[in-house]
Amino acid sequence: MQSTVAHPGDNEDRKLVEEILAGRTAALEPLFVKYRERIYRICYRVVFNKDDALDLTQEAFLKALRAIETFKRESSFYTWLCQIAVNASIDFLRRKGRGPKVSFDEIVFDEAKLAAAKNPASTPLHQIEIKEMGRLVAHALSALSEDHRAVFSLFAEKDFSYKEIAEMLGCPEGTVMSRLFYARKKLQEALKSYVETKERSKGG
Amino acid sequence: MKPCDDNQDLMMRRLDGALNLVEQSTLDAHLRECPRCTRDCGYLLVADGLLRAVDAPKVSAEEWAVVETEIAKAAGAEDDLRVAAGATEPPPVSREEWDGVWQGIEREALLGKREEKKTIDIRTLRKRAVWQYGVAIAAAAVVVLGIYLVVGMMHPRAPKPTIAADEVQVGKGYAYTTIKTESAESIYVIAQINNIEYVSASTKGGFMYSTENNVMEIAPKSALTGPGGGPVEVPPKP
Repeated sequence: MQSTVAHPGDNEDRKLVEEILAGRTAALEPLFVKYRERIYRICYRVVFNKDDALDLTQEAFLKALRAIETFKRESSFYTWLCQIAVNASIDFLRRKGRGPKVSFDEIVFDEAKLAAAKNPASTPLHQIEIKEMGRLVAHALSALSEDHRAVFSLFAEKDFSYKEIAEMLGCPEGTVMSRLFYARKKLQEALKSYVETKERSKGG
Repeated sequence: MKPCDDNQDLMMRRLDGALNLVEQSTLDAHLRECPRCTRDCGYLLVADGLLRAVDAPKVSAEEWAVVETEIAKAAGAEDDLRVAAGATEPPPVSREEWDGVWQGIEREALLGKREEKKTIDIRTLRKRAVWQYGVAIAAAAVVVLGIYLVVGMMHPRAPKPTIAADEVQVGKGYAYTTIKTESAESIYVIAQINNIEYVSASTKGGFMYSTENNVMEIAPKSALTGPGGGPVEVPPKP
């Protein structure tokens, strides 16, 4: 299913798609430059390996090029591309049979977003080091399946509504919400357990 | 006041901005009175923020250039194929050539069917494999037996001593038997009397020893040691 939700720049994208359909493959380049970072991030947050994420980014653009005739003109090219990328990443993990384990050194944070996340003064979490945060997040993400991670990855990209994520992954909106609920809950529990253990060790 | 578990759900939905005014005020009222939920809410906010903050390692311009080149290469190759398909007229094909093509298809189709049958009929294949293994194992057994017989002929072994059942005399506190053996090696008999093990030795020929429960074993001298590793103690003859 292709999303019909509009995104900024959709009109320019459609013009480029028309050019590709007319046989000018070079029109893919501006689309690549525009979306490569976002597609790469989406792939990375599913597979948690830089080289694999770059390969998957390449694969996503090539798949889009090969299937360009199936792209519906009224839908968003970006959303369609993300759908291809996230599904390729899920397939990759399944094909590899790689466990869902995420290593803490593969966790990278956007510093501005991290600072905002640590802000709530109601918890003692603002004192935790980034490395420790990475460990906790890796621990929580390791508990997620490929499908759960795909929801998390698209959610973290911030561009999509639950409805769009559901359309991209071909599942009901409620499933998207429950998968996200699960991811948040896992991390909430990890944070709580970490802080309580720290407090107990200080008290003892 | 709503139970804490219900408020977990409200907290989660508040992160998505999905609460109506009534739900929002219900949650706020609960949080004012419940320190545990206030704390949990804090953890949840941080968890949500952290998940949103997960990024990917930076990719250098050089790395992007490699990816772009790969895409361009693949896309260019596809372009070339499209151009070739659209712009060139294939040479004419004769009737004989088409017949050859059709025969090839037919052959492929038949082969395909055979392959398919092989795949489906995997149990027959497995049975055949088991049968083949059986023959191989039997042949190997024959070879091993032959080697064993040849070696046996070259190094004849002493016949195993036997106790003839009809020669065992069991009486109160003892049992008696004659061991028939042609071995030159000394024969030892282990007998258990009241669960205490006794050992006695004899050269070839007749031998007797007593036992209450009639458990008797025969062993070569080298296998026997007495208590503490010393020589075996020979109990008196009854």
